[in-house]
Amino acid sequence: MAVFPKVVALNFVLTFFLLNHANASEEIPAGDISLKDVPLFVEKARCIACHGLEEFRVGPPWKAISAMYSGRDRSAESLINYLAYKIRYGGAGVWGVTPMIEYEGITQEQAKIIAEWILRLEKK
Amino acid sequence: MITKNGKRSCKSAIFCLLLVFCYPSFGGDMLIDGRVFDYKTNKPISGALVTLVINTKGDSLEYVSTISDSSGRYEIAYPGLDTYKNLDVIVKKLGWEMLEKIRTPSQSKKNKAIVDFNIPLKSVMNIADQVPASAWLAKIPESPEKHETQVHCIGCHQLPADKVKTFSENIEAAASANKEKVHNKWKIQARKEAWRSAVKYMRAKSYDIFPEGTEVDLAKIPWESVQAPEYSLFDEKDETVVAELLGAYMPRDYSYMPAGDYDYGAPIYTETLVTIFEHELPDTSLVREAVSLRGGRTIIGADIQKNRLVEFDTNSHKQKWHPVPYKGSTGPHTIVPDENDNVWVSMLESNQLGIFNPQNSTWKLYNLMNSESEIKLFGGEGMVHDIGFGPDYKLKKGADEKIWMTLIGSNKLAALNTDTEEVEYIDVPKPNKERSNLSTALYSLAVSGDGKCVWWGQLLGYVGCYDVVEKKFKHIYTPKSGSGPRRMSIDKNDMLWIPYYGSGEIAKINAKTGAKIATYNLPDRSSAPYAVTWDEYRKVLWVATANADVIYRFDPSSEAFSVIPLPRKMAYLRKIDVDEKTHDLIGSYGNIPTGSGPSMLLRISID
Repeated sequence: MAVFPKVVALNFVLTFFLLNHANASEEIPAGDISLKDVPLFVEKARCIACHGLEEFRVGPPWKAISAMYSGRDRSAESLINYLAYKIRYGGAGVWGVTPMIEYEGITQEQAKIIAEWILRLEKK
Repeated sequence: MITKNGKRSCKSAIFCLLLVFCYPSFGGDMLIDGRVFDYKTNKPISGALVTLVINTKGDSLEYVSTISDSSGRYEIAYPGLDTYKNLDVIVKKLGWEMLEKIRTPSQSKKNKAIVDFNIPLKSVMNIADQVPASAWLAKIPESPEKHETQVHCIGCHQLPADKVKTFSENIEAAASANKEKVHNKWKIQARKEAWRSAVKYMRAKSYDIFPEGTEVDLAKIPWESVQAPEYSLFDEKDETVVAELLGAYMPRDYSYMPAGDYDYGAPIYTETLVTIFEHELPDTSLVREAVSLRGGRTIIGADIQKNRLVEFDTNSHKQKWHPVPYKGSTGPHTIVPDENDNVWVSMLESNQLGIFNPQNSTWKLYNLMNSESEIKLFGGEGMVHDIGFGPDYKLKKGADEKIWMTLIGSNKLAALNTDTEEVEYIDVPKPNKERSNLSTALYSLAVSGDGKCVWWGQLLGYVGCYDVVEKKFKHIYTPKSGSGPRRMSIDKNDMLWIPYYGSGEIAKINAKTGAKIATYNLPDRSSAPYAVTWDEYRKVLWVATANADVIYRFDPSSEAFSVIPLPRKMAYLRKIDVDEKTHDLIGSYGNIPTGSGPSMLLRISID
């Protein structure tokens, strides 16, 4: 079992006092979701391990993805389905050679809601 | 009652009669036997794993497996087998596959045993889908960089697990998309940077190892802190070593491996009857360690994810769960039984050491850090990793009558006086080289026969002895770069056995004098030997691997290895316990994160 050094633990303690905390869970939530559920869903499903809203993490920020499709009809079913498949099965090439891994536990319906949420970000 | 050749033998008519009368009341073991053979040539196939899938009347599915012997014969004895109809039968051997799905026949009432249930196999040319993760890693030449990568990655998961294989294939697909234009040097750089991204992902993903209820949540911590190498599981040097090694050498196509390319490197153990029992646990639990109690009737496992122990009855297959009575997350981790059938339990969080008595389900907790400023979270100063044990993997106090432990978060040894509950702390020397604290974290521990020498090992640092009587460090030495000493064992002759996780070796050291006796290469050096356990009954050393889905058996007298393959992939092993009465081997599968590998207790009976 690996472990963090003392300084990390301290960092965690500070963070803990500064922020409200929720219990960590890596399980991908089951069932239907709506657009307002997406921010919590992407935390629970650990999308945040690679993506931020505006921050470049391992992969592109969601707002950048949204901007990329600014010239397209973003309510088109075909685009939403395309992005939903990317969310579920990953891919590589659009944003460089680093592949996105697959997330088998996410359903197509859930992924479509996430895709729609991403595509709507740029309008805000 | 059952002989090796699969026939039930009765020495006398009286014994037979006794058996007939006794059977219904005792519900004795019923038998299935037969022969595994090549359907083309009718030649026997030895070393095949034959598995029955049994939906027990207890809480879970059970998989019962055996290994066919040199004449292809197999036999499985199981209590009440006659009451289970049409069980699924799975047969596995590298280079072979079943012709079709098979099930056990319905037994007649007269003859409840299933005899001569013969199973044909056909040979296959491609074993890519059959081999363990280590078969792919074995293609990378041995080097200190490979060994460091093995240490860092396989600490949590097998390398390459299926997702890692897909990742590698996808890098290749993206990097080769424009075949004519792409310069080879660019491809090399692209691969390296893609693997560097994987390390960054793992920095974030590693937060999933925290137990339920932890205060350490990825969603609440700034990304800069998550990625800061000095706070992380991997420092910048580690990141570069892993990215360069995987970028240069990681296989890029996992669709083909010719039969014969991989065979564990040692003969499959077929000398005596081996029966492997795998008891399913809930997917949401992560039991990384398990030990045997009460003469093999009970297995106790530590569920790091759900802050509890599981008590498993090997007869009824019932699971009983015992939460740690502590307000907050604890993450039970290492368990060591004592002579009174209690278990001592170290915890990841909250600086707790527990002792649990399964007879009356009671706990006692000791706080290892009691100051006002203590850090209770993961990696806190009082986080115990290993608890001192002797040759039989039972708690063993030092010559000073104290319980010795390694504190992984603070590089200290701790000695607990159970009467006064006072704890003594000893700072342990560590290499001066510039490495992250994690790299040199204090990890494993074993106590010498006279209780004088507490042997300890650091993840990528020193191995040494602390003399608890003279109160000084002795015999400190530096293993080769990247070797990664893990869970050690001391035998009755005071020989210390150290598994090297990264380099796939076993070292033998005289635990009294500190003299190095020998170092042995494992048959598969990519198997990541996490722990060794001395087996006093058979006078052999069992080597639990995290990356090869096998247990190696090392006989020190002949210096030869053989191998017991396990019936499934991702059989990520940690410490193995040998039961003092049944001499069964006890363990569990512990791939991180929860749910990414099988969640099961393991019991292996070897006659």
